[in-house]
Amino acid sequence: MDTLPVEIIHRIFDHLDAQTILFSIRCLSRSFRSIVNSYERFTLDLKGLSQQDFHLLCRLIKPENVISLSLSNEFKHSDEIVSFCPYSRHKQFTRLRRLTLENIDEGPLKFLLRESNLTSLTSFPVKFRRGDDRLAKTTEEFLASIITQLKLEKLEFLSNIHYIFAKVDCPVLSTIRYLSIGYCISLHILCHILQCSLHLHTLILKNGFGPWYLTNMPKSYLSTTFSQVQSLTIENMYNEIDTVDELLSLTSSLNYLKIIFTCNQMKSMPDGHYWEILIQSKLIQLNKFEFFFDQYKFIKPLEELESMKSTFQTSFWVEHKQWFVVCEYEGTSLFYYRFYTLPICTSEFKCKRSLKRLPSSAVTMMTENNTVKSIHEYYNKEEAMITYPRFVKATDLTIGVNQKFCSSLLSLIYQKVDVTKLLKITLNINNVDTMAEDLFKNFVLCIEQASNLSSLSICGRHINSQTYSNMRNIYSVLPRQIKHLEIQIDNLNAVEEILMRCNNLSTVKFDAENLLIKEITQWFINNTINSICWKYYQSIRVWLGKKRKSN
Amino acid sequence: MAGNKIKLQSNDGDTFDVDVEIAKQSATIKTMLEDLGMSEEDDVIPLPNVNSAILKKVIQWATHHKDDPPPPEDDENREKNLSDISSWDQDFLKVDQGTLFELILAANYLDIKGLLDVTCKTVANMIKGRTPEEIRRQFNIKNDFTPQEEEQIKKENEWCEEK
Repeated sequence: MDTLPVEIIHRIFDHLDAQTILFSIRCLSRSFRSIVNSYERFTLDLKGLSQQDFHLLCRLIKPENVISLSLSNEFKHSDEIVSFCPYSRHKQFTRLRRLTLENIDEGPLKFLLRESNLTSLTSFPVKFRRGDDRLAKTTEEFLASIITQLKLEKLEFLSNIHYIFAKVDCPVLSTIRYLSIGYCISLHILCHILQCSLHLHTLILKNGFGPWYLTNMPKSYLSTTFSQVQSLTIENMYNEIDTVDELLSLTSSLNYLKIIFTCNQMKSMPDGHYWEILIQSKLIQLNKFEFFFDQYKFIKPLEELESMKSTFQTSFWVEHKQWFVVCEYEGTSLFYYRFYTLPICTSEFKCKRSLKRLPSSAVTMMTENNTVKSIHEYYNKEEAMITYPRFVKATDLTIGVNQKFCSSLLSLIYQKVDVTKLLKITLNINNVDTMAEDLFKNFVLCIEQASNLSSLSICGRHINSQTYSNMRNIYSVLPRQIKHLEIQIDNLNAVEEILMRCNNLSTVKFDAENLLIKEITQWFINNTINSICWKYYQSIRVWLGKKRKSN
Repeated sequence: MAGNKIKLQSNDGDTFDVDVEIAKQSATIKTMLEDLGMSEEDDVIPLPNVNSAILKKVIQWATHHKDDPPPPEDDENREKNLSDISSWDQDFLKVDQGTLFELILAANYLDIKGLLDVTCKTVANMIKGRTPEEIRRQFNIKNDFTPQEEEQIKKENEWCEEK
């Protein structure tokens, strides 16, 4: 490999994390140390690292060689971002293009914005730890100065701070091309943003938008169209569909639209005719429409669902646009139903118990080409699971296990994903008296096959002693490579056994009785250096430090 | 160039008839054809940096990917994702290390972004999760550090003083 030109080796580095480059490649040979030293495109993601890697990276990295920096307080009460702040060479981040701040508090945010060199920033995702934030005036001014930077193209506000936009003069926002808002935004402020952002191509509203300020809308907005917006995604929309109609009237040049919508309990879901008329009258350039609509507590007779399904099977849907829609419903009570386009467009997909699907030719369009990253399987029936396509992009798998859960269903779930791509597996065990031997063996076999697994959670409620005994057997077969583990324990010996087995762990969460939690805390004080413990009710989370050498 | 075909010549003299649209996945060839004024009358396009065996593989890759959408521009903000290599590409790149590196060099010379990305990702996958010693063995890299330098690196990688 050392015969390849340096620029090619740097290109290979573009696909590797900073730890691999600095801890492994830098130590290979003199020439590789020199090649690493001249690399100027480091992506520094300090999320989910062990304390050792975290502090080593902060010390070894040259800030001027970093183009992307991600900081996160990962858990309740944790303060990793504060741990980063003392590495005070922030002014030297001269090439920083992307700064990601997750669950940050206002103090560290203000420090970073004040101390860092952010003039080259093109992308800025930020999420506050608390949901509802009114910030100090100086913090608002720092944020406003970032969103008005001329190079900024991508902005993600994942907290309730989009009101900052209202404080900014319109013409200066013109460079933003991609905007993602993670908090329910009023249509009024949204219109202000659209009016200011003349190059905004992609708009993502991750938590819908609110109609309640509609009465305050300046009339000038209602007669405006924002033709710069070509792609619109609205997720977690819970309000009445009329408000979506209002927004779509303002963005008539869309060629891509995605809506994830849970319908209002009192209102019926809009059918295919509604969308057909709306698209033909207001969105004539739309060439891709994806949706996932569901509704709870609105019992519909099966005939009505059949009739509604037929409105998505007109020539407009099937022949002209070639958009295919399926309908699933709660088989026994019709208490829940959902309509969605194929391929499935959500990042999270729940395979619910007792769901049935209305017969449709669209089902043949179920393909592996879906975007689902996270699968939740709750006590499903094998026959229901068989009808789903493979979820080849899935990286997270959550399985609910109750007394009826069987080994063959577990095998089937594993066939539906590419096990080698799984990064996180969660096993929720509830009300289980005895865990069948073959189920336990099968689960162990499955996690062994998940070669890229980095996070494993085995938690449960109302577990009896027999199941506990099975869980103790799991300790000795836990995958050695995992970095994050959540597990239930009932004795202190388990702590040592688990840490001996999984020596790559960065964080571990033990669910245990409160008395045992005190002992666990003391164990980490006695046996490790610099471990940080956060105690909660009947659980403790530890950011692992270095193990003390035994005398 | 006959019809919509073009002749590409490897550095060991073999020529290959290739559809123009397939060949144009190479930005280098596209530039030769469009900007440098090469026309249908030009017999062959010489590719002095690529041998016959590698050019054959490159054409095989470009033919399979001829209908792919254009690859996105280099995005410094993109997520690092080493697992998004299609199964066809994974099979295609089950080759010896020498061939893999030659494919990387050819993709770089011919400026075929999709092929360069997938080959670099494949090498990155061979590195990820391995210790320095395992990487040295994998790529036959000689450790030429002096004992003093080794000690220095060890010291740099030390962490965590006893409180």
